[in-house]
Amino acid sequence: MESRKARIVEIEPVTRVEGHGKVTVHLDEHNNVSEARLHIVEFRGFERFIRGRLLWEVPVIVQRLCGICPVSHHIAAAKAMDMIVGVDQLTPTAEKMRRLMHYGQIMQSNVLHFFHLSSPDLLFGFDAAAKKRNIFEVIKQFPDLAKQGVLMRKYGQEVILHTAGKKIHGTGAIPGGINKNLSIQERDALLIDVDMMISWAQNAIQVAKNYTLEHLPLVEHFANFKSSHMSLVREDGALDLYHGNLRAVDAAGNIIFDQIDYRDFNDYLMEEVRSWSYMKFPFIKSRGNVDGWYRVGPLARMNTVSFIDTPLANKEFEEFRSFGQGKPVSMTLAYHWSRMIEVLHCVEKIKELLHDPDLQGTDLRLKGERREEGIAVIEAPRGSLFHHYKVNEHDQVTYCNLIVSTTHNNTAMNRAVTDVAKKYLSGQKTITEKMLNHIEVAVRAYDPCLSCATHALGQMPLVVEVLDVEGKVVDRGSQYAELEKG
Amino acid sequence: MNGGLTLIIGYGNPGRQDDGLGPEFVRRVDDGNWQGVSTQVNYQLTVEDAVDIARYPRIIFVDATIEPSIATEQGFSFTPVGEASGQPFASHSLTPGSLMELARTLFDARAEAYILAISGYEFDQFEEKLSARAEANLLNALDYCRQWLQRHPVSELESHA
Repeated sequence: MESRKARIVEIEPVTRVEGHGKVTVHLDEHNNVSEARLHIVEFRGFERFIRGRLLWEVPVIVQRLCGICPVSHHIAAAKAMDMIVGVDQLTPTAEKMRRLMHYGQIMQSNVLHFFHLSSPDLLFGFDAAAKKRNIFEVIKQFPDLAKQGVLMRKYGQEVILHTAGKKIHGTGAIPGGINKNLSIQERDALLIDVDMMISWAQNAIQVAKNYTLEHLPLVEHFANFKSSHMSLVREDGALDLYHGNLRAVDAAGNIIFDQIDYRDFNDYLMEEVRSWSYMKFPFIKSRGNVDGWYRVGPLARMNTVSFIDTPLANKEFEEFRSFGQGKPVSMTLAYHWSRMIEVLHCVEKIKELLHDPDLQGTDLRLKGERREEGIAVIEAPRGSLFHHYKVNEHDQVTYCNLIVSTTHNNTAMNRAVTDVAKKYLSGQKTITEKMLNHIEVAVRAYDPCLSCATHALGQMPLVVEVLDVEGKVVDRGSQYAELEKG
Repeated sequence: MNGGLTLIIGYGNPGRQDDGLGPEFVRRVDDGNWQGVSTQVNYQLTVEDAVDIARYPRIIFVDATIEPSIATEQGFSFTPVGEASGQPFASHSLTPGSLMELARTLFDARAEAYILAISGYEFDQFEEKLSARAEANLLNALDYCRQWLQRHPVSELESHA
């Protein structure tokens, strides 16, 4: 390949990110990065798959959508179906059981991401050899931390098991309520380790926070860009991962909109299609498609909410916010710190709920006046998750639209990739695996879920393509190291 | 199903056609009330599975595969789980080799482990149905595994330990 020819380097897929993704780095004739794009090979057709299904089936079926966050889809779908069966307020037992399930899900998902995927980057550095940046090296050098990560994940799964009925394909949440309560035996089993989980969550925050503070020169210049942020908040502004109203703030922390009933989301958000991506680009209508993009997820939530209603997490939240000096924290790598604060919040909430006798209540389900449309938003591990359905008089789904967290973060991830590519790849004659890992670190911080649960053996080749300025493939490789061609 | 000393873990997404071969294998093992086995299903293997693995002397992972080198006339292969080294971590999931190494390192697991890889062909649609060829491969794999387990009881394994 001629070294001075404009080219595009493709990296596919992004390792240690869920599903299939591809990054194209567009280089000009001087090997400077002009742009970088994250292409997500999003699986299409789920909305068609769900059409014709009975509304009662939907909370179970939607779990097929994703192998990583099935519980989030389960809860969001059930919440949308509540609206269709005319239930605007669940019984205390039903809502608290769902919340317990949800906190277990967020805890275990955030923990998995942090310990399994991101901790190698943070503990050993982005420049560390690939063979060192994995969970086994974490086990070797930080065995207690690694074991805590595994057992915290296990604990979250146990919470899901006792609330959803199963670890996967759970059936706990049903339209209008829940199909089981928490037995005394299940409660007592979960109480045994809950204080240890709180302690370990605090340890994990220290790892993430210390990394941020001890590496500020790097963190402040790594995919750090201003943006708006959006999430649900409670009526009093508190963090609420299960229910609330929409709030968006701009890069300075000014309110764009607040306490918006999420059922009116179409009045405030739009989705744009771009020719080069399968995934849509949502934006805030009032800001337009150029400036209206925003971030969701743990970092966004720390920037939108006014406080956290659990004491230990709120203390950490206050430290986080003081770090931002009153303005939203915009560093991509601060997602890790935020994510661990949420883990602590979830464990505190789990403990609070386990001591609540409502979980042993028997009033599990309500019915109301039937509606034809259901909309739900929850704060899933990766950010706001929207489910929107319409059903006919035969209880069959006629319309389905899902906006997943990764879609909300689409523009932000592209910004992050471009920022890092320009800093670390521009002007280089050869592109090394270390440089490319910097791009992956930026993408991984958002913990994208690429809507692809297929994982059959042999289906994840790493494909690298080099294209010239006319889009012609001039080189192709299947090994990471083979990117070093100029 | 619980109680047996051989843990069969079937994983994959039943909503993605042949990707559901692993969970369907387990469903039929449960329906057939196989003796001496415990079963689990999951979308994919993740770190906490290491805790359960450490409690069993033998693990059989069952997964769909599109790997041509694995394909046989019977449509499946049954092999010992290989080493984790050299296998990159992709996504949140683990390979059987990585998971076994995790279980050995963190939880002192001693289990011997095998992977039953069943060839699948259709993965690209949301549909809870196996292709006809995958179904045939599944039946072959079930027959083989049942007979293999009968020939290799865990008590024999333990006596050699």
